[in-house]
This record gives sequence, C-alpha cells and structure tokens, in this order.
Amino acid sequence: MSTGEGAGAAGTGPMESGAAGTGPVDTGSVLLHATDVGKRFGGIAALTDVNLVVNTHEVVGLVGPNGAGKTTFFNCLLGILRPDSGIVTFRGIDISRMPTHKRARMGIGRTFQRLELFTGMTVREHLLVTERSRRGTGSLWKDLLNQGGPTDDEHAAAQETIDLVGLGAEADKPVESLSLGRNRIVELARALQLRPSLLLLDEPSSGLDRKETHALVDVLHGIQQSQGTAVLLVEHDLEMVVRAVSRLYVLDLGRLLTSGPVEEVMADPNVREAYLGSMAETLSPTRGDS
Amino acid sequence: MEDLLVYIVRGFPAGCVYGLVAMAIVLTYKTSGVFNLAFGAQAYVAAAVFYKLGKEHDWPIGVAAALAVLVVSPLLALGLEYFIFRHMRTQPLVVKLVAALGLLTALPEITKLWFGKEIKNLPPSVAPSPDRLYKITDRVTITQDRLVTVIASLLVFAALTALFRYTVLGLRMRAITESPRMVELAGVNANMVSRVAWTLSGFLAGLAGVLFAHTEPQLRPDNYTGLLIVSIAAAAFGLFKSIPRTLAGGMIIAIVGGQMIPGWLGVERTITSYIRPSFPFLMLFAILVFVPGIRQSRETTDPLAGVDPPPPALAASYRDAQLDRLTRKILFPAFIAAVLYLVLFLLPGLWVSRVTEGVCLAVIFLSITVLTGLSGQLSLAQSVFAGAGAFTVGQLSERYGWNPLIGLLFGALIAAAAGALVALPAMRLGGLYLAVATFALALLAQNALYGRDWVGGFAGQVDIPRPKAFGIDFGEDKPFFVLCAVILTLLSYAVIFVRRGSTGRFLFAMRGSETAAAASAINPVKYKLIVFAFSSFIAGVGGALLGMYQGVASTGFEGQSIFSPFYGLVFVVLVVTLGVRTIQGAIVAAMSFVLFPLLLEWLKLPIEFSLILFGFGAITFARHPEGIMEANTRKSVLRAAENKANPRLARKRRLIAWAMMCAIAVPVLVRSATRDAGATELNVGFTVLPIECGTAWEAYTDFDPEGVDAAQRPALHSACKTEARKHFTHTSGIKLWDYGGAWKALFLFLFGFLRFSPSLIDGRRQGGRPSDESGEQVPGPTDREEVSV
Ligand SMILES: Nc1ncnc2c1ncn2[C@@H]1O[C@H](COP(=O)(O)OP(=O)(O)OP(=O)(O)O)[C@@H](O)[C@H]1O
Ligand SMILES: [Mg+2]
Repeated sequence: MSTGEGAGAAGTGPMESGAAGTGPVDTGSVLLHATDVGKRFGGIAALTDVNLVVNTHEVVGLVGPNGAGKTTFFNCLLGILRPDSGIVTFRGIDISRMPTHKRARMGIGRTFQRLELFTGMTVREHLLVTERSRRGTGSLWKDLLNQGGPTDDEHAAAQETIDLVGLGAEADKPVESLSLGRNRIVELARALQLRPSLLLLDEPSSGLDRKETHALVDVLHGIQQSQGTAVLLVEHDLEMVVRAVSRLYVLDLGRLLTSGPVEEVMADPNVREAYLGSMAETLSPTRGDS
Repeated sequence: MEDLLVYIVRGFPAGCVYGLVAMAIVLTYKTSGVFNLAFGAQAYVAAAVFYKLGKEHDWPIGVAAALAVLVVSPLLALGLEYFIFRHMRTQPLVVKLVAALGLLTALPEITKLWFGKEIKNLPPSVAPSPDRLYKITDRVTITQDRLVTVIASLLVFAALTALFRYTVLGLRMRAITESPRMVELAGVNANMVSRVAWTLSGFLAGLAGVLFAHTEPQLRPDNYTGLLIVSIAAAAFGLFKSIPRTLAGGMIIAIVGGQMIPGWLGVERTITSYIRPSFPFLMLFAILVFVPGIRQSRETTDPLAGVDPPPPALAASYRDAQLDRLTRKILFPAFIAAVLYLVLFLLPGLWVSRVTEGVCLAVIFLSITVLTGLSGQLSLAQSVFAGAGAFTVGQLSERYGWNPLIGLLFGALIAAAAGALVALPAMRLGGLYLAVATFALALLAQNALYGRDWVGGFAGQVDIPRPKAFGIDFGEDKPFFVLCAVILTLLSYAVIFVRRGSTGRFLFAMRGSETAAAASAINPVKYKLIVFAFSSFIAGVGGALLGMYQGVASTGFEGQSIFSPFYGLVFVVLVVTLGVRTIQGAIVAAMSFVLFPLLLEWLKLPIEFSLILFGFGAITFARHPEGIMEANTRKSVLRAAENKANPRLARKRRLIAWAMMCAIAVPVLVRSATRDAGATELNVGFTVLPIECGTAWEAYTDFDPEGVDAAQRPALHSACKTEARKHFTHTSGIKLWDYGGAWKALFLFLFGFLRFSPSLIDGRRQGGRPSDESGEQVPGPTDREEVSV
C-alpha cells in the first residue's frame, strides 16, 4: 500500500506529480511499453506479438476492425487477463505479474466498452469509493470505529472531478437513471479519480451523439493539457480519432498492421484495405448501438 | 483381485442410488436452470409414502413402492415446477436456490404432519426377502435388497439412454443440456421439455428414495439431505452436464470412497470412521474449487449466468427527513425502552429466557447480514462457524478454566480464521457453487471434526458455563440477557459502520462490477477475505452466546443440534426471506424463529408449522428479492410520498389503519384487563421451570433438600437452574399464555416490530449523507410491490 499514498488532497497541481512520486521516470518519456504481448483463447489467437509504446503526455490511438483484439489488449495491459507471453512495463517498472488493483494504483485508469459501473451507487459515490481506494487509507478497524465514511478531503476531490467532466447536475443520481452517454462520462470520471498518468479508453464515444462526442474530445484535451495525462484511445469513430490523437496503431486479427503519425497511417493502403474500407458505413453519425 | 470385486459389489448399489439422484439434479438444472436442492426432501417424501403404506398399512410392498415412485413423486415434482419454479425462470440463480432451500426444509416438516414425528425404525425394502444372500463367487455375496437396487437402477439407466437416443423428446432434452440457448432459438417449447424433465426427475428421486430407505436403520430426513449432497458431488464429477460421467461419479464415491479407501485403511480404525463419511464432501469441494471447467462452462453457455445486479439502495434512505428524525430520535429509543422494560420487569422469567435466545440467534443471523447482505455471497456454513465459537468456549473453560468471556473472544477468532480459510479456496467461486461448497464444508466439519473429543466433547456435548465478570454473575437470566443485548447492539453498530465505511462501499462496488472495482484500485481478494472473516467472527460470537444460553453445546445426535449444517440452511433461508440487507431483518428473523413456535403453541397448531412457514416464506423471496422487511419499508416510503401528494387518500388510509389497530388492540386489552389480577401475582417470585428445576434440585441434594446447609443453597440453586435450562431449551411445555402481561407483551412486540422496525435501525445511504429529498426517487420495482403483501 505504499504507492500513490503521497498524493495529497485537492489542488496539488498536476496529477502527474501525485502518482509519479513513487516510481522512477528514468526511461525518458516512455510511459507504457508493451513488448510482444500474446494471448490465445483456445484456438483463437486474440493477440500475437503486439508491441506498443505510449509516451508521457501523449494521446495515442488504437484502431482495428471488430474482433481485432483491442479490448483483449487493454485487459492484458491492466492484468484483467493474463497474457500468455510478453512484458508490460509502466514507468520503467515491469508490471506483468502485478494484480489489477496495483496497476490501477500505479496510475493506469480505464473505461470499459461495455459499461462496468457500480450499479446502485450515485455518481458521487462512485468517485468517493475510487478516491478512497486510490488513497489506500481504508481499513476494517477504521470502519469499526465509524471512521470509514468519506472525509471532507475526499468529498472535495470528488467534487473537483465532477466539475472537471461536467457531471454537476447528475452527481447525486444513481447511475441506473442516467443515459448511456452520461454513464460513459461517469466511467471516465471514475478513471480520472485515480489521478492516472495513463488513461485507457475503450470506445468512449459509442452510444454518444455527435455533440456529446465533441464535448468528450474537449474534456480529454482539457485533461491532457492541464494534467499531462497520457491517453490510449480505442475508437471506431475515426473522426474523433483524427481530432484527438497524434499517433495511431492499427490492429487486425491480433497483429499490429502499422503504426505512426495519424496522416501517414491513414494513407497506408494496407490499412485502407483491412480496416478503413469496412469502416465506411460505420462512420455515419447514427452509429450508436453497443 | 477378489478384494476389488468385493468392493465393487458392495459399493455398486449405493453408487446406483447416488447416480439416480444426481441425474435428477442434472436434468432439472439443465432444462430449467433450477439447481433443485429439494430433491433430498422429495426422495424422503417418496420413502415416507412407501413406509407408511408398505409397513404401517400393510399394503403389498410392490403396490406401495409403485405408488410412491410412479405417482406421488413425479406429481410432487411436477407440482413444484408448475406452482413455484416455473415462475422463477427469469430470476437470478440465487433466488431459485433459496426457494429450493426453503422447500428442502419445509417438505420434510409437511411430511411429518401426516407421517408422524416418532422415530421410524427398520424401513422396508422393495425386495420380498431383502436379506437373502446370493453368491457371486465363494467370498462375494450380495443381498436381495441390493440386487434389486442394482437391477432396478440399471433398467432405469437403460431406459433413459434409449429415451435420450431414440426419441424426439429425449433428443430435445439432450440438446437442452448441451446448449439451452440454442434450443430456445430453434423454437423448441422449453416449457414442455422442462415439465417432462421435472416429472422424470421426480420419478428418479422417488426411486432413489425408496431404494435408499432400507439401507439405513431409520427413516430420517437428514439421511436424505446427506444423500442429496453426495449426489451433488456425483453431479459435479459430471461437470453438471454429462450424464454418463455423473453416473461414474456416483460409482466412484460409493466404490472408492465408501469401500476401497476404508478397505485399505482398515475398516476398524478411527481414521476410517472420519474419512469414509467425509469423502464425498471432500470430493465435491475439490471438484468445485479445482476444476475450472465447471465455472467456465456455465459462464459461457448460460445466458442467465451473468452477474446479478446489486440491489437498489435501502428504501429507508429515501425517507422523508422529518420522519427519519422522528423514527431515529424518538420512536426507536422508545421501542427499545418498551421492549427492555417488558422483558426485564413485566414478563415472567421464561420470556427473558426466550428473548435471550432470540438475541443470541440474532447475533448469528447478523453474520448472514454481513456476508450475504454486503457481498451478495451465500454461505451455508454459518451454523458451523457458530459451532466453532460455542465449542471453543466450552472446551477452553472446561479444560483450562478460562473465563468464558475471554473464551468467547477466542472462539470468535477461531471462527474467523475458519471463515478466512474457507474463503481462500472458495474465492473464485460465486453464487451457486460457493453455496454448495460451503455446505459441503459444513458437512465435512460435522463428520470429521464434531465427533472429536477436543471439539464436540466426549459424549457429543460440551458444557458451557456462563461468565462471571465485572462483579456480575451472568449465570442469572436477566444479567445474561443484558450482556447478550449489549453485545448484539455493539455488533449491530459495527455492521452498520462497516457497511458505511470503506469495506462496505468496496464490497458494494464489487457487486456492481468486480472488474471495474479492481480497475479502480480495489483489491477484491482482500475484501472477500475480510468479509468472510468478519462474518464468521460474528457467527462465532453468536454461537458462543447461544452455547452459554443453553449451558451446553451439542454436536447433534440425529441432527438436532442448532450447530448442525441443517440449521445453516434454515438460517440462510430465514434471514434472506425476511431481509438480508438490514440489521432489523436479522433481528426479526431471530425473534420469529424463537417466538413463532410459542405462537403456534398458543394457537394449538403443530410445531412443524414454523419450519414449513419459514420454508415457504423463501418462495416469496422471488417476489421480494430484497426481503419482506425491506419490501414493507419500500412500500411505506412510497405510501408516505403518495400521502403527501394526495391528502384525501392519506386521510382514508389513516382511518383504515386506526380501525385495524382498534380491531386488534381492543380485544387484547379487554382480555388482559379481565385476567390481569391473578396473573401478576403469579409472576411474583416466579423463577425458572418448576418441574425440571425440582428434579435437578433433588438430584443435586441426594433427594434430601432439608439436609443442605443454608449457606450453600444459593450456589446449589443456580447449579440446578443451569442444569434445568439444558433440559428446557428445546422443550416448551410451559404455559406462557396464562399471564396477562404476556398477552400485552406479545402484541406490543409483534406490532412494534412489524409496524416500526422496518424503518428503525439502519438505512442511511451507502457512504453518503442521508438524503433530504422526500420519497420522490424511490427506486425499485414499485408496481410489483403494490400487488403483494
Ligand atoms: N473471454 C474470451 N473468451 C474467448 N474468446 C474471447 C474472449 N474475449 C475475446 N475473445 C475473442 O478474442 C478476439 C478479440 O476480441 P476483442 O474483444 O479483444 O476485440 P475488439 O477488438 O475489442 O473488438 P470490438 O471492436 O468488437 O470491441 C475475438 O475473436 C473474440 O471473440
Ligand atoms: Mg472491444
């Protein structure tokens, strides 16, 4: 429980400083480095030797057709799935064997493609719980002495996140009563509450209309500007990808097709064939199933 | 080589019976999604019919058996499907499980109503001359009874194989067991298939019940519960889907566990007497924990297998702020004061004793509130954790002369350690499998540990003294009651604080999504361990208190002990039905468990009705998954909101409520007023149980009370009371109802609880401040609630 504890209360400046205090940042600007990650489900090779780097402060895109293995890759990064092979380092530390909650506490926040919310809680409660677990200050003994409730500090931190993502009006409503679009924002807020230095976003815009998507991109930009959070973005909405990211990885059938600056990748004929061609129809704004 | 043959011949019949029940389990589980734990009870019912007709009414044995197996048992199964389980198809697995548990407790009690309570010795066999021996080789023989068992089972297996192979219906059933979703998509009428499967399963269970009857010296329901769990182990061996493997599992248990291992170890050795009955439970537990196929097959093929969504916030948290203050600050303290006054000063001593028992049980039940209410997991081993507490206190004070209060703490710690140990391997299991695994462990503990003299004492019971501390002798009933009440209060607040604090909120988050919780830096393993340990700790405290109350903890010869696994089932059913998420749910459950038999006695109804009602109560759980208490609260909060909006409706409702209160209260007051005079006098000087106490007194004083030194009298007196209490706790032949005070007490108690308690104790929002918005955003299935209750 040593990591992340030093992070002070509200207003300690850029979130980077809070989370980065414990780990060495001596790998230059490389934040996350996945080497040769492989994962099979029975006969299906969901991931084969995927290499990916995310630098600090950077917004990187990860795209690919359905079933390419993007979600599986996220799960491997966070330890929700155990990859069969490969190494993941975060801030220079090998996290391949770490349990999920420790990776989260090191500063990796994520959202889910299929909503994974704490049903029954309000938005604020989501954030208060996450704030508490991030601090790692909860213990059964404190609870038994009735010292387990949210502190003023934690309330302030939660309120800060609520204001940041603009959930003020819904803060005290149970998440079940919110729309899918708002719930995506709740997930984002919950991930941000970890004060991550890396955000993994799994199709944050699915189920959002165009206006909401734009607002989301603005929020992301804001966070990235003010807090220097790096983002790895999985997204089918290429319009959003182009607006948001600087570098792009393309995954197909579990293999990396290409990577590089957005314009270069978009111009690549292989990518056009494997992915963009099939994306033509899904680019329409009415897409919003999930 | 011949040894092997001996083992096989001896074990084979039992293996057949296990296989029959296991097949029934697999069939219904796969076709209707119900893991029917009631098959144990259904097999017992068939056996009882068989016994009643064949032995007591002297019907021809074949006719009796045919009626039981071919008519009664299938009809019963069909009835359960039609009236109960059919309506639960879309409910979460746990709801169905609790309903089945309710039936498992209720059906044998219903049976006793017509079958009789007395011990049923020497059940008959379907074979005409059951004990006749047939030679297979010189050394290997088989009795006719067993031969008939084998032949009948083999015929049934052959017939079923043919059915599955060669008929359309069989094909559909087989298809459903492979992939329920695909079959639905293919347009097969699952209703029809499910009904046939239930009927067939009823037949199988009935056949097993009748064949099994003769193998035990007495016909007792708990034998059939044991049979059920052994069969579950067999079904687990078949991964709950493959019928041939299921049969193989039955054979392994019967031949390897029942014959070979004991044969190798030596039948006479003590260790064998522990291992032999434990084998199936060990096997079940090992399969559940170590075979990954079981959990995964379910998760990927069953459309209903997803995580159950956690329940909405407690209704009381949506209460009007003014009403909230009123109940919290005035009504609740007043209610508690009234109860204390009644129990301590007004009522005859027996009521103190009864209410104390309720308080002790409430502590045990609180452990279920913690585990199931906070984490949503179902453990059927709580009575055994309670036993751990009780036996520890007893042993420590008996052997080492420890103060029972310190022993209590120690016992609770041991229970907590046991709980954590259970949690470790069970961590990856959830829902159904966790419930079954804990039950297997409970039975394992009973078989392997309870019989040891360092656990359950030499004669199957350990004396437990009541503590003397702080200059108070808790041997007296009233101080002991106060002690228990204080402990219950402390623990209740502990539970409320934990629920409100990090632990409770983390667990609630994990119920919503364990993945997301881990991704939010919550350590799921740690908190599962904590909740198990905390819950078992509380169960241990409760068990120790209950042991002190009874003066003795018994390992339960013939399954009577409150610490036997059977009561683990009853407890869960009761608490879950009444309300597993609130403290008052646990308290009301405990009080009903204790007071309900008294009410029945007063109404001159058989005592069996209490378990029957509790069992069937579990079925209402499907309609109110949050528990009856919570459903009531929700309703009252809703109504309060309606009343606010519509004053005319409010006036009408108030009128009706008053009329009903008067209709009940006036006769009660009149009756108690006219009978009070004599009654209060009787109260004075009434200590404990005249009859038993007198006998004990005589025994202690060598039948010469006069010869006892006056100085010794008080000590002797309390020794007698302790002795008498042991006899008393489970017999209630005392007339409680002749006292006017009792009348008032009962009604005040019941009314107080029913009317006020749903909103009394807990209900603040998880981790938040109490909501000041009045009932406008009451969550939950509100329209459904209006129809019922
Ligand atoms: N738990 C699992 N068990 C078996 N196969 C799986 C599992 N999870 C994913 N897969 C398979 O792995 C492959 C990659 O799936 P993944 O969900 O990672 O794709 P994706 O790129 O996120 O697709 P989408 O754009 O639809 O979200 C798919 O073929 C999928 O069927
Ligand atoms: Mg995906």
